[in-house]
Amino acid sequence: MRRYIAFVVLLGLLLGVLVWVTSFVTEAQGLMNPLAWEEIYDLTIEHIQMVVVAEAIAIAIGVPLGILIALPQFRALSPPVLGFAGVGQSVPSLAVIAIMSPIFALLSLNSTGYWPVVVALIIYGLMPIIRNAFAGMSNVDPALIEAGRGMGMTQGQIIRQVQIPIAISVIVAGIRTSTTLNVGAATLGVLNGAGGLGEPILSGMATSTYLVTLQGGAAAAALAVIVDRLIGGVESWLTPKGLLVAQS
Amino acid sequence: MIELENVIKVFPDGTEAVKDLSLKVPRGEICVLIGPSGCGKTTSMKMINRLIPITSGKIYVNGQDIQTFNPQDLRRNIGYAIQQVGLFPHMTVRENIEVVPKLLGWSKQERLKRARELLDMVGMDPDTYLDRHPSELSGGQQQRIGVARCLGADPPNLLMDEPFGAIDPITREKLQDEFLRIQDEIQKTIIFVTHDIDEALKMGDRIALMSEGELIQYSTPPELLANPANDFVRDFVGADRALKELRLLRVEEVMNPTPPTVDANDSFQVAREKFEREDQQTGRLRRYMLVVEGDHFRGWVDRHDLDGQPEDGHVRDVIIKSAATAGPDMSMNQAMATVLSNAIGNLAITDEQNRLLGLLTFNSIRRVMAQSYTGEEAAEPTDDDTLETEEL
Amino acid sequence: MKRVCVGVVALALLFVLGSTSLQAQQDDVDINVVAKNFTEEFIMGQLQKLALQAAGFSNVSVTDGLSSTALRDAMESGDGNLAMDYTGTTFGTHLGLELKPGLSPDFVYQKMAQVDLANGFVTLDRSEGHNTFAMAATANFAQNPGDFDSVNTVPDEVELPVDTMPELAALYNANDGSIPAIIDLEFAERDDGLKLLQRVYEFEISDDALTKASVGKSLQALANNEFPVGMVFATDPAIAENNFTTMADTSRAFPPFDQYAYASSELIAEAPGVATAINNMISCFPGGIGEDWSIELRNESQTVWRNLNAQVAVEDKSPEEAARSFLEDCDAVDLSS
Repeated sequence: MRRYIAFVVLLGLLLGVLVWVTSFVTEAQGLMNPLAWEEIYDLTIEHIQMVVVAEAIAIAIGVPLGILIALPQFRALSPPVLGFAGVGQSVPSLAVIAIMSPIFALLSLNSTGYWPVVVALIIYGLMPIIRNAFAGMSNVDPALIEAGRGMGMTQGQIIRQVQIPIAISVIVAGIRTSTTLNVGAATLGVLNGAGGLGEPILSGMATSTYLVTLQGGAAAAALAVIVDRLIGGVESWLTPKGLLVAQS
Repeated sequence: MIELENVIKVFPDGTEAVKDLSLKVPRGEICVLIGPSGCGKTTSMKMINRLIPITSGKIYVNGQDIQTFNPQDLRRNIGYAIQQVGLFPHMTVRENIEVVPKLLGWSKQERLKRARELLDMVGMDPDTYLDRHPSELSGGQQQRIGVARCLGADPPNLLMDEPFGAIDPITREKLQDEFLRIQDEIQKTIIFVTHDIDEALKMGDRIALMSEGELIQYSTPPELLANPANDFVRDFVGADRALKELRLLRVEEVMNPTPPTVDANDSFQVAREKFEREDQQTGRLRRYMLVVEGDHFRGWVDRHDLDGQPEDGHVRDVIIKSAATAGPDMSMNQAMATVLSNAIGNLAITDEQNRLLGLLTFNSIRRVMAQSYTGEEAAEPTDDDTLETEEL
Repeated sequence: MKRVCVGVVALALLFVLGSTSLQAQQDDVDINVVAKNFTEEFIMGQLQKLALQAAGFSNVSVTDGLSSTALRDAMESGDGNLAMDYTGTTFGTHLGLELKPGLSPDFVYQKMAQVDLANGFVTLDRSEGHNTFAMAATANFAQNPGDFDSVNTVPDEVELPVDTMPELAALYNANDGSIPAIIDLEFAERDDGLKLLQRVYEFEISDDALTKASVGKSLQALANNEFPVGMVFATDPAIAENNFTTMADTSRAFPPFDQYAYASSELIAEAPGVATAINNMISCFPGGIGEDWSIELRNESQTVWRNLNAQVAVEDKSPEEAARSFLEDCDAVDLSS
């Protein structure tokens, strides 16, 4: 209950700032004019598109990969995979985005806009997903896996019916961390011409129109808070009841 | 039926875990694998359902070589209960019990029927427990579900790896008793791994004692106690093996089924005459005698209480009532504890309707224990061994 | 009015130049040159130092890396007594005068010099290098705009190559504003950036065609031919390197941002030789006080600045090396003395 109160208060605060600043929009054209609601809406949609596409791909890669390297026959792969993903995570998100663009250019791909940023966000967001999927699967009590084997489950059945249900909350927690991080990191996408909520943040900074920066910042923060809560909800919804009882 | 033929297990690191093990477990019997840790007992068990591959040798389950089955099919047809119970925490009790039936493709109705049946069997109310999760159950209840789960698809053979471990001794005893009662009904062929010799003696029809991968002795519990194959077995079984042997005996096997009695309605005179007749027969002075009324046990009479009583009185006027009785199924070690705590030193054996079935005396217990050390065949029980006798 | 301004500055210069009796103290005077935090300003700091040293001043220090505001503050507080800045910056930002389209470079210079004299500064010579935003096109686009998918019509008034703002505006107007362009975030947002250009030249780049990114990214995307049109800074050496064509701001939508020098009046009074030395150095760049504006003159001056900047940005020379080799080629400054 308490976390819901914190969530509501925080979100209310951020949206309050957004509404307050946006109410300054006047007819007059001037440097200090904040963005209108339609513009914020468009930028938010751009932002969500970037994060959703990046996360969908990061999940599609990261979850199976994390599960795979937790299996006994591929366990030897876990240090290099986790190490590689760790590098992606520890390099600042700005650098990952900055590096992506020349790499795309080198590959004769369009180095501007959406895709280099999405790829950068995928790389940046993979680490928590892989790490949590790996940890969740590895931390399943070996006795349970043994019990499954002993009762005649195939490895696939053990993974699907035993390990994943037990690890699911940890796996989703990784996705949650990754997505929340990427809502923040995606604000840098504008530097590569990908638009999104980074646009008011950075152009506000460039032109000292801090109200515009505040709008972008509040909108991005509100988005992060909502996404975090939303995936948190998915997390509890997917967690098997028996494990919830065990936790409480 | 489970049969191991010259089974050898060498692990990749070169450890010889099992050396040339041959073992035959007849249908319907519990074979306990026991030995110090690292003796190969768990490895031997896990080779039977191919959780661990054998290096050489043959294992037959119901006469068929296990290598001819696909491992999953083999395992689905051998019940398996593991050490830490291993209930799936995310599944309900019902889902846990239904795991193997589901793998075997049973219909929903069949599975539910079986789950209810098994919960009844292990003494848990299906309506209350079917939809609970393991985390909502006590340790003992979890172990019961563990047993129910391994019986899920009613496999003829079971492998049980310390299924009653990690639980308090009282609950453990209770679960063991219950399981033996269930086994009486279901008559499974069971390989039961434990490191606890008391559990082995209690549960096993046969005990396979292993050490360093070798089978040291394979025999029935009484034989193991009475005739240890070597010093290792003697040490492993323990110095108190005579006491242990008492566990294996039931009161019925030791008691005197035809003890002398007086009737509560006998006059003092008649009672005195019965005492004297007994004294003459045994050559010893008997102090207490059982009091019955018809064939029901009523208490005891002390011959000293008969002295100086008016002639028209009856035995019931001086009866010593005693609550301490035992049933014929009680294990001898329990019976002994009861005897020791009873002032009279003797124990009346009665059925549930309090009908007298026999008499257990301290001397008869002592004789049984003496036999286990000397290996003599037990003599026919007599009743001449009253705790308090006086030389004539 | 213009003449009056010129007169004022000239009088001031005459006054200080006339105080020749102070020339002897050149060795004693402390000159602290302040400069900003980008390549062109780093080089300008070194140019001033070298020119002063050539004129016999030995106590010259250069403090660079300052923000625009910090530089002005340093000059006003006396921490710095000599600097180079841009006419439009001083005029609009520091003096708060209204910059509007159409102002001539010399008007801005004269007006600013007049106002700053009252602030205790002597305004020295200027070049015509006009370093500000400019729209640019890739070579392909400038030569053959019709080859691009987004261009359906090339209007008659466009004379290839496309190299003026009216031509670019005509192309946009003829093609629904849908020619892809990539511009810097600040340029996009500022009211005196793209918005100003669109107002002055009466065209519009459609939202879908316009991509906003960092300055570096804009240049890179243009260099990779990912966009035909983009924003550049007028004296950026990348323009020459990548063969971009800049669009001449024929209507002078952007106010002039010409490189010029100014010094504290005390310094000039103490050491009038400073003014001579700096003016000589600035005369190495095309354009100057009183000269009339023309596209050709501006292009010529910008090219000189671009090449100078390229020595640092492309050839990896230090600002001092670049400044030295530039001055060696300029007769007005004799480094050998």
